Amino acid sequence: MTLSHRTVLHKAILYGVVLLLVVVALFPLAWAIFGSLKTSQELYNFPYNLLPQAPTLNNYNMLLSLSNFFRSFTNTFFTSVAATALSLLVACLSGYSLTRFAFPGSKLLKRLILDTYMIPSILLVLPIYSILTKLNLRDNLMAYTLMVTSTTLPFCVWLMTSYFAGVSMSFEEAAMIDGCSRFKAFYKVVVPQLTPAIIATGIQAFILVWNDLMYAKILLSSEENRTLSLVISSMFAQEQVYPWGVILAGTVVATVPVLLMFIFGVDKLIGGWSEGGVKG
Amino acid sequence: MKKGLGVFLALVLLLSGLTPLATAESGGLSGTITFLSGETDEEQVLVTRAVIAAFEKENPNCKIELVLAGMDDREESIMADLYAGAPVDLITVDVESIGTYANAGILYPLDDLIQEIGEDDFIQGSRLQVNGHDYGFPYAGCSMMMYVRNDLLEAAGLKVPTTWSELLEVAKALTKDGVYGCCLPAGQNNATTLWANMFINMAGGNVCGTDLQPTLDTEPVRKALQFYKDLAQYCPEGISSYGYGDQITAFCSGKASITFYQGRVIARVFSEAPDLLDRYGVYEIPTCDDGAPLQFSSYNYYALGANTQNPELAKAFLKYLCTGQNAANFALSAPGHITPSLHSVKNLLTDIVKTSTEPILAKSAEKILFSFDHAAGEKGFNESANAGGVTGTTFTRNGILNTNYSYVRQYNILSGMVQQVLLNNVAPQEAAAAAQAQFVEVLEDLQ
Amino acid sequence: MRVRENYLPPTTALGRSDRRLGILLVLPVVFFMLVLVAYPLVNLITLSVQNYNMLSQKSRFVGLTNFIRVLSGGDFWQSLLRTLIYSLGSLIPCSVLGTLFAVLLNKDIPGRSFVRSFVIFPYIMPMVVTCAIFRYMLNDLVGILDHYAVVLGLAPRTLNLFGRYDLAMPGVIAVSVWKYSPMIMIAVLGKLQTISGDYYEAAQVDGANQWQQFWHITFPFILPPLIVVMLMRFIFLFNKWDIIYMLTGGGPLNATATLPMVLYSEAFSSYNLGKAAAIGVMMFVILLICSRFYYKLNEVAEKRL
Repeated sequence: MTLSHRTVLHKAILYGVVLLLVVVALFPLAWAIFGSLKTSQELYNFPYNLLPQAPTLNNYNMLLSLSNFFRSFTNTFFTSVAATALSLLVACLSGYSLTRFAFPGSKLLKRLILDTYMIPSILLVLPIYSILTKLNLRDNLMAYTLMVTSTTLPFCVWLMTSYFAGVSMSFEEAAMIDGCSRFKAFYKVVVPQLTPAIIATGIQAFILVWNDLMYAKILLSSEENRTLSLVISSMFAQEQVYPWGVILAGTVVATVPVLLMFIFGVDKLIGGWSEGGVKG
Repeated sequence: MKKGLGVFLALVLLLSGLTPLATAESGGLSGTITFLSGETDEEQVLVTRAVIAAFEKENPNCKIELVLAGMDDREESIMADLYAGAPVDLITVDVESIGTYANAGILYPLDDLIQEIGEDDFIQGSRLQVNGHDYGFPYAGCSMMMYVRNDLLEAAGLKVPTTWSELLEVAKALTKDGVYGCCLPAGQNNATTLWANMFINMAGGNVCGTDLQPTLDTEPVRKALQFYKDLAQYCPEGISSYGYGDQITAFCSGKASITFYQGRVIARVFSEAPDLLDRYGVYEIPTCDDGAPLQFSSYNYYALGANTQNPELAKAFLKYLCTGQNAANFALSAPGHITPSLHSVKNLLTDIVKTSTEPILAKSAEKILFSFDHAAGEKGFNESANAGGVTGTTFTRNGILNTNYSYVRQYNILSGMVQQVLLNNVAPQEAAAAAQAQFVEVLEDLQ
Repeated sequence: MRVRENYLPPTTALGRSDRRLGILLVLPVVFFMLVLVAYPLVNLITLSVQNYNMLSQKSRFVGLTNFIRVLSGGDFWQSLLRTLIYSLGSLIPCSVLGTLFAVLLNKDIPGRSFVRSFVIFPYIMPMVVTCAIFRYMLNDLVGILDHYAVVLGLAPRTLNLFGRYDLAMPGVIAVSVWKYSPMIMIAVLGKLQTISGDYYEAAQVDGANQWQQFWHITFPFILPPLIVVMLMRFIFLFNKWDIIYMLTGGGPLNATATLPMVLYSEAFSSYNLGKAAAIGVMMFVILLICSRFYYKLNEVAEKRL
């Protein structure tokens, strides 16, 4: 085979695998989107038609009338953004400190942070709820945001620490010798190398908080404070008898905006997530 | 279909002017309570919200905070509140848990509310008393019935089965051409536990005796297991992971000709499989040939936490919600599935159903009325809450609540027993004996 | 040039003020951990030595009884084994696939940014919906995936994935891998994007093929964050119960009953919070042992580097 033939074959295989990947990852979304537009009769048809024959927005209407969906959307959005920002900030500070300074107990602290991640969340949430109740902060979105940050923190700290450790200090030292302050060196030298890492960690933290159910279930109760995952899970009663139309509509609303946000928003934020990387 | 039902409900609400049977005392009621409801289907949520809105309008200083949650989530919520010392207001409690909750002292007695409505108005078997007091308000019932594809039955020249042996024959005959004769749940879940409990009762036995000790190593249990095994031959292979909802899927997709379920199937057939509307019928469950002639109905309860801050408001709202037109509207949101717990409401509903021109009610009227009568019938027995009520061929509503039932669920004692027989081919005697040993050990460990 | 990953920060020449700054920077983390986790942890240990009834809130001190009961019941060890099978069985495919996808999606493909975001979808999808949809698709009567499995010859009449004792755990693992591979992919991508293209050009000039480039350039770079994320995910999967509960309920015949599920049912079905706490403490101890193992492994690996 000539070199160009081989390249074409490689490309074909590459594109094929990527296409397969996309299909496998997305087929439930396809089902959710199409299913949410079907009438209830069509939803239970077998054999199965993927596309709705008589598309209707009925399920979305029902979704809106069942719950204050917009409100829960904004609740979840603000909580996720706030928790992610807080996590990233704390994680970066800690990551920087744990890799660039030697102070007694830094190693131990790192391990303790990991240890806290190990406790099953059910057993964490009960005492936390207890504290909040005593402080009269139950059903409070801000308190909830703070508490849910503690679920993402250990993970973010450890990951950022690892990324930080992978950036050699020689660059900063060189910059500092040239006269930069510590923070300026950090800003100009380290951050550019870490941007993809920050984005990656941020995405994971965001999704973790977006989908959080356990803490939201216990710590929040009133309708105006509900999050999306609460609304969706409340449609699933004990009997495993699901109103598919509304659930699929809820799924679309809970996931598509996040996807779109990642595709467009994150790009704009740093212009780095989709670029960067190498041909190789 | 759902849109039509919504319009119908709106009309009904409009026409009735939302007049409850007795006006709530608007003077002096104020405060906020949370209402933890387990009725999460869209139609039911809409009705509940409408009732809350109307109540809040009549009582301006009151707020009812609606929280929707499935059974597991509700339990978590209640436990978390208890742990944190937070007040628990109106909650939905299942029949299996109400005895346990009441005994633990976490519920507020509702005796005065029951008296206010009138003891006689309650359909027999709906009230569950613990230590002589009412802690739960039965707001809806449901009864287990048999759904049969009449068209397939006729085509095979068979009659509707009324005993277990007849059922086996019919199921066998109907299992052909990719369609199964019957469908049962056999997964590791509450549905299997419930079905197994039912069959044990029908075979003349109990899960626990009047002393709350397990009675699983007995002949009725073996008979029930054998029946499960025999019937499973005519069920889809996938039943080893089936729960509640899968029964409906199997029946509505046309793949199973017979299934047992509560009244929800009536509404589901209407919305999911309208082509089956005229081709199926609803009947009593076939009884065991030499067992107790039982049918099953149970009720769901609203209860009030003992540490609630505002019992007066909660009781007033409860009365508003569960009587008269409001209760009727609620029952109509899942026609046939939610049966009334009060005679007054039942009469109201019967009139509506008989005279309605709304498609689902008109077309399924007899089935819906059958479910009402079935739930209120003499043979109705509350299986999962009861201990020691069945003896051989008779049963009594002895009022003894099986507070050990939660362990049956947690340790999958009944569902494990069934799965051993179905999946591992263990003989019914052995499986029953093993389950008995397991249950006894669990209870001993608790001391 | 290979970047040396060191977790032990070298002392700088700047001395004490540095140290203070370092401590200052970690204070937020310490605050969070102390307030939000240390107290519950202490609470947890206190609970584990009590017989605490969630309903009546009556408690009495019982010492180590809970632990003895848990450890001596045959269930514990079997559940632990299942938990390990589940977590490792999901972690390894997730890591392999995640790394593979990250490498693939780092290459020059049209629409790369779209694809990268699309493949995160499994991770974004709410858990309850994921489980409901997969159960429906694998239903033996109407499930489309089950139908295709039969068409592909994987099973005679139905795959019955969640209903068979031998297939239930692989089934649960498969859904977990589908759901969580994107996690690993994102973490690896975060590092991949910072690897300079010069390395690869030099390697290509030297005549190295794709695999060699991966093994000698890419892999060492991504290994540190990959290992960290794998450790994190192991802990995460070890504690996971909701996905299994919603897919199979722990069955059939406890085939998928893992430790977190036992914990959960102990707390909310038996209302025995003390025993649940004991199980929680034991899970914590097990994970502690695993993490110490990881640290040892890490030290050995660093010495090699």
